[in-house]
Amino acid sequence: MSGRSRMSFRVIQRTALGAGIVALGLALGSAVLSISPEATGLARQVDGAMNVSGVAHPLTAVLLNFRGYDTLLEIGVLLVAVIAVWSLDYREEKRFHLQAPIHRSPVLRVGMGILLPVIFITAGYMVWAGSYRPGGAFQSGALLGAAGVTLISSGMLVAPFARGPLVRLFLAAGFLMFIGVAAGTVLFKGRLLWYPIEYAGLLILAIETLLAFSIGAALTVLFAGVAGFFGKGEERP
Amino acid sequence: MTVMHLFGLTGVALFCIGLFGVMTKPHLLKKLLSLNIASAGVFLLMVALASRGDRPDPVPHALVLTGIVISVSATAYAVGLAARLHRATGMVTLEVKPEDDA
Amino acid sequence: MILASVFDVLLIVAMLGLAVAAVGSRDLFRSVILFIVFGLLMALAWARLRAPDIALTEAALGAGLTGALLLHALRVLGSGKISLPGAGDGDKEKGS
Repeated sequence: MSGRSRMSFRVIQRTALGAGIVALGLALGSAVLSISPEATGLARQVDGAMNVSGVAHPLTAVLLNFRGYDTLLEIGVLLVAVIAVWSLDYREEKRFHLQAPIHRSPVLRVGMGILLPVIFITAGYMVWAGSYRPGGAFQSGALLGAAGVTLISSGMLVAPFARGPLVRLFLAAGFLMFIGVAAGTVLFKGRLLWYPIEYAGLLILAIETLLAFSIGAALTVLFAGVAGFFGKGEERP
Repeated sequence: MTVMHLFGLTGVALFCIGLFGVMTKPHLLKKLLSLNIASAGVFLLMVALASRGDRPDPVPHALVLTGIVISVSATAYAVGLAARLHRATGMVTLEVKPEDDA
Repeated sequence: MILASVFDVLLIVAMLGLAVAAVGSRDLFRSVILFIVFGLLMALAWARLRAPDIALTEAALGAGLTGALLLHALRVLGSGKISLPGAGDGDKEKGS
């Protein structure tokens, strides 16, 4: 096949693919347009069950109570992702070094000194706020993860943040707590994740606090694990 | 045309843009980026559907919230795989060698 | 109401434009930066759709963490080989 005909073949292929995707988009678009603007979701059912959920924010009630099983498995997936990324590591010394001399910069150091406490306070507030307004473990965990990524990118969190027992404890805490509560509800209530109403709020807050730490640690470790592959000078084949 | 339709159609368009990128761009990071745009389109459609009525439906919100965290962790894993591929072969694409596909 | 619709349309046009530019750009570094901006606009879209919880998460994760990951990967993978000799087509994308 000559280069020219290969080229034109690619053009035809590309055009056909584009036409196919446009057709798919039109079909999906007409499907979207045919959806009635009337609400058909579960908002009413959620509202009706709020008084037994133990919290006042519908999303937190769905995440930690009504669909708690989903969230439990989701944290499991997050842990599996961490294990998978760790298992990809080809270096002998399993430490996250990202040698970045920038941490000597006074501007960065002072900036981080101001930023980090604000992030941690906001993350703590998010967990607390989650029981009655937008907020919760995921937002808080995302903030903590962002703080971890900032620390690593700035070169402030280097070798000490290895795969030590403390990091593993943080990673597993949320999942273990969740499983513990789930086992307790099976033992005492006979149904998985059916919290006793009088303790529901407290249990959800406890799970959310540990979940926030676990999600933050998992995101930080995921980032550190992957970014560590691209660090310079630490390869020991 | 309501807000739901407007953002739902945007979600469909984003999905198509991402799908096109995944299928045509050879570089793995570009594929990943396109995949993330496609999944953003799906999330947007789901939340647009949830925004109907006087109070938004929290169930799709919960699904999307967990979905975002999962897609970030999957992206991290995929970047790790791409790093291993690059280390093993020096390649950043999935193209097969010419003698293999003959 | 009109103001809200104008804002919606502007937001959507910006998001679609950024998505097309991020997927279509030949420069990977530019793609990643455009993707980060796209993620921030997504956070606005979530707020507009009355989903503040998702907006909070998206602003930190969708834009921040994914973007930082891709930027780190770009340092090494951006200059990697796109195609084997002989399998070449017109799709040379250059790294940062």
